[in-house]
Amino acid sequence: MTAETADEASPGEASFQLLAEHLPDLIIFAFDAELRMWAATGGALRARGWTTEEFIGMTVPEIAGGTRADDIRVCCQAALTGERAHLDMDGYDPPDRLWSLHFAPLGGGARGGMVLCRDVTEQRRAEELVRASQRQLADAQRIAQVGSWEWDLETDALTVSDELRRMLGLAPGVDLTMTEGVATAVHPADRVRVMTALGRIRDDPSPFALEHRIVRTDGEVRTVLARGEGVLDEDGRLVRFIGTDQDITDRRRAGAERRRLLNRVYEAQEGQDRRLAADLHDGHVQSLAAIGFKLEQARLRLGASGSPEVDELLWQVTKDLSAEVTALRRTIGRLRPLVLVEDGLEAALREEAKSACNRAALANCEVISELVMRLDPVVETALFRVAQQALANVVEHASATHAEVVIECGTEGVLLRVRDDGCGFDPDHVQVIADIAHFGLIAMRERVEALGGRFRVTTAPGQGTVVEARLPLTVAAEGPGA
Amino acid sequence: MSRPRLLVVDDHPIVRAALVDLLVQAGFEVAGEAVDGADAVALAKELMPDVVLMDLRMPVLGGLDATRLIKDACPDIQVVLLTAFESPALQQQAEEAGCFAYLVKGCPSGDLRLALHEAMAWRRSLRPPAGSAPLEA
Repeated sequence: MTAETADEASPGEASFQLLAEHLPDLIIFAFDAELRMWAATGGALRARGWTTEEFIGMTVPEIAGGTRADDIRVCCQAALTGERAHLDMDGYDPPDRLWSLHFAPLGGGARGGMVLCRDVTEQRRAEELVRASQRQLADAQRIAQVGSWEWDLETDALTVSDELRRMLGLAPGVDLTMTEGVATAVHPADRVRVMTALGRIRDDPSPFALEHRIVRTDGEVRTVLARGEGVLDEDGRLVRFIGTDQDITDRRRAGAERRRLLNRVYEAQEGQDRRLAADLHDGHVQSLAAIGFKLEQARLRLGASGSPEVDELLWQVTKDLSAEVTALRRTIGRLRPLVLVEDGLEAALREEAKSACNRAALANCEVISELVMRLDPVVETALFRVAQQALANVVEHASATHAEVVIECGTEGVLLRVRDDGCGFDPDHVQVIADIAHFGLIAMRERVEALGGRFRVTTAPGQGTVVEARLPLTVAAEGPGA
Repeated sequence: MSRPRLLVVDDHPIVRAALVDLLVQAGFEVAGEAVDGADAVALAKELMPDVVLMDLRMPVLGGLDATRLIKDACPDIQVVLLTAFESPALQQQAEEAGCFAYLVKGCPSGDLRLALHEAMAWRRSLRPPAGSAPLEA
């Protein structure tokens, strides 16, 4: 340690020297009652190439100079009265540096004070970077509607970011445990599910995702997607969870709106099909049937006296007409399956399965149904259309020998499964070649998801195909979601 | 043997007229024409035809309900259903309602005449054991 003093060290000077010894990064000035410098030392002083002699004899305000001289005088006077003071000063030497000045009494009974000067330029820059980073994180969380949290498993303490606090409507300074958070912020209908999930993850640090609703302190209900994962300590013990809550209310509402519009489209399409079927049935089919009766009447009138050629021609025309009426009837059946309307899904599926057998080299197409009652007509129609498309795929593409249509009922919904033992396909390839529409897969998926259901195709080349559609038993007007 | 007496029921006038002309030409006696199921029930009770040739989908009262009422009131009258809808489920329902046969519009007219004659023959035969009447298409 190098203490450069003008006189032999007094008790105050001793403490000054002690500080200089232990804080070599500082510049330390000592001043007397007239604020005149009598010592200047510190590693930082030497690092800048300054010398003690430059300062000895000057008053502290003189050193500072400029506009800060008065401020510094006030701080020095405070130190002389036994108080401490602080100020930041820039524009000295070099002017881009920021100095932090701490004024303190010299102590030890000496009349005087000292100034501890530290170059805090880098520290302040780092602090500003941290603050900027925190501001950016907060802005990002606000824009993305994502809040972050940390859950201490030992104390149950829940630390939340400002954005999550805002999402929950929590006032600043209000701290919660996880148990309190679930009890107050999670929607009552989702509370048991969330508690069950939390209980399950307590021993498993794997990443998790959980969607649930929250009730803000102002009563507004929002939907969030919580994601998180466990953090282990150095002994490998699971000690806390960190994660995020993303507000997906708008996304869910948009999804519900999309489903509602899709439903409107399908309803309109079904309505159009019904009207077209009715027009064909009441108009063209009846007219063609009447023409057929008249042709037959003409044949009867000709009787044995007519020419065999004319009779043969009339017979052929009658036969052709009959074939056309049959084809038209089948078109009507596809547009508006009367059996679905009159007798329900199971009966309609049996007819569709029978029709598939007639149209393809299927040895059989079994229908296994757990249905004991009629379903919501919208659900019946959607499941029937999915089965109709799936069976059309079996007929046209699968080269299958066996197929089955299964309806399973549970408390949460109804499952339709159409399975075949045909050639299967590569789903990725089908998507890549954008031929997916050819198989009607997009239409099937949209139809099911529009009603809040789930759609899945399981297939591989040579492995057959399983098409599954799961729908709720009844369809809410706005679909599921917040 | 007298000519079979028929009641022709169809809400489409063009079909009804063509059917009547054909059936008369084929040697049947058309005792009456009805425009819907309720009309058919009333005329069946009044005219007591041998066979009712019944459409399925009609206003006021459908063909299946009309068939049930006719069979309840006049069990000897046979009903042959002639419809534009081809459906095993409907065929099953027609059988349960008491129809003698289920025919689809557009079928060969020979099938129609055959069904009507068989219905007539069935009516004229001794009353068969209950439930043994075949439903033919």
